[in-house]
Amino acid sequence: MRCEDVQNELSPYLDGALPIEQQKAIGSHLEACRRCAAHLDDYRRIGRTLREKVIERAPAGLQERIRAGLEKEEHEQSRGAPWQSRRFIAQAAALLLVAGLSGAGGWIAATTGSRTPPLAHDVMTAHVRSLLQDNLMQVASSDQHTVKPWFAGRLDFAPPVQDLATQGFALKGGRLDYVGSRRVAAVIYMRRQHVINVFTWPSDPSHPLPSLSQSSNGYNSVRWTSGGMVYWAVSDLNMKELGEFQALLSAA
Amino acid sequence: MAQQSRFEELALPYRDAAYNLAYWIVRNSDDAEDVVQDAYLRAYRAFNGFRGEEMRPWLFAIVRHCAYRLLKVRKRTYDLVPLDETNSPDVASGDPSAEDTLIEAVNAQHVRAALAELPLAYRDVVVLREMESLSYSEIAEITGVPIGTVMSRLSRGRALLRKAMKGRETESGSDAL
Ligand SMILES: [Zn+2]
Repeated sequence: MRCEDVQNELSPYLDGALPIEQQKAIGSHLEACRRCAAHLDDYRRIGRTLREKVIERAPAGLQERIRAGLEKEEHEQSRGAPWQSRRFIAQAAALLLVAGLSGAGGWIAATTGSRTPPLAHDVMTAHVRSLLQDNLMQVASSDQHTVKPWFAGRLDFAPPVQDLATQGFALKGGRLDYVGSRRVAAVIYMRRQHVINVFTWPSDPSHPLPSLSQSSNGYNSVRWTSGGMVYWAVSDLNMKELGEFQALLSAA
Repeated sequence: MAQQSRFEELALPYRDAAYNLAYWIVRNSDDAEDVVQDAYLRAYRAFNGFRGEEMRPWLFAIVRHCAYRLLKVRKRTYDLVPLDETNSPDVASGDPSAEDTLIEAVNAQHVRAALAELPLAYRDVVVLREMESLSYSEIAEITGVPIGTVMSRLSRGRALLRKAMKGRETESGSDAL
């Protein structure tokens, strides 16, 4: 191997992040080459210095101040500031659950036809949670070629990601979320100021999910299956435009 | 209350590491402390959505997010993304006789200064790997970039640190010890 090539790989080599053959090849080069070995040694010593002498120590009392902040939060929850409170999320979730169980167009009875509401409940709370917290997107990009690869390696399937900006549905980014007990892709689009979460996961042929169109608690949702994938779009966007969105996504 | 003590039990042990990460993103101790307090509050509010994943990467992602937001508010976003991200790391460029000799003495003050001057996209990856010993996949999760990008940023970051050390060594002559 050429020294230049070796030196370009020294960082992942140091972390053992290269394929085993490459680790071995670089290892034997380093035994024979003093210059490359010295280069690696620099990395090691800089790393050790960073760990031992450059780490910033937290100021005294930080723990107490964090705790005081949490205490204050707990107290404020009992009076107002609902959108900021953790309890609000729990209450919103509970509300959805009750609405669903009470039937009459509720989420849960209509979607699964069973007494337990796992999927619809999870999809709904995931949507609400994504709006309440500051974590709507883990990858923020309007470029499908950035969003797609972000999911690769994080999921065992590749969720379709479309750029529908010219049709008025701007791609905003992606996020990992949970529906049921599985990790799913959440792809985020915007229509004007309305956030649309599209939850996607591979469909289970032994338990096919029927298509569905639902309104509940100010949110609309559409579910469909296409190309072996379940799509579940949730938004406060009106049902007509959400339907257009569905048509665009399934046509692409 | 039970929720609060469970959160504290899981999250508080990482407060020093969280502070160090925040510090090396905002490079200022007052801001770093604000960021950590803000991040813990947000983490606590979001704790219902936390489902038994690893606490450390989850918490660090929030810390990093808060720190970046503070920088954005201050409009100090110039170094968020390195310009040469798409290029190969090209670690070994330059005069080989100067590049390949061992750095004589790794002076902590010099390393500190070199880290502070590193562009942010490399700096936080270097901090997460070298100081916190997180795996590439954990760093990818925290920073929201693919593992390959973590690898190349870390490569570039380490090379830039070494280069800066060499520069300082030359500047200060042989008294770096
Ligand atoms: Zn060599």
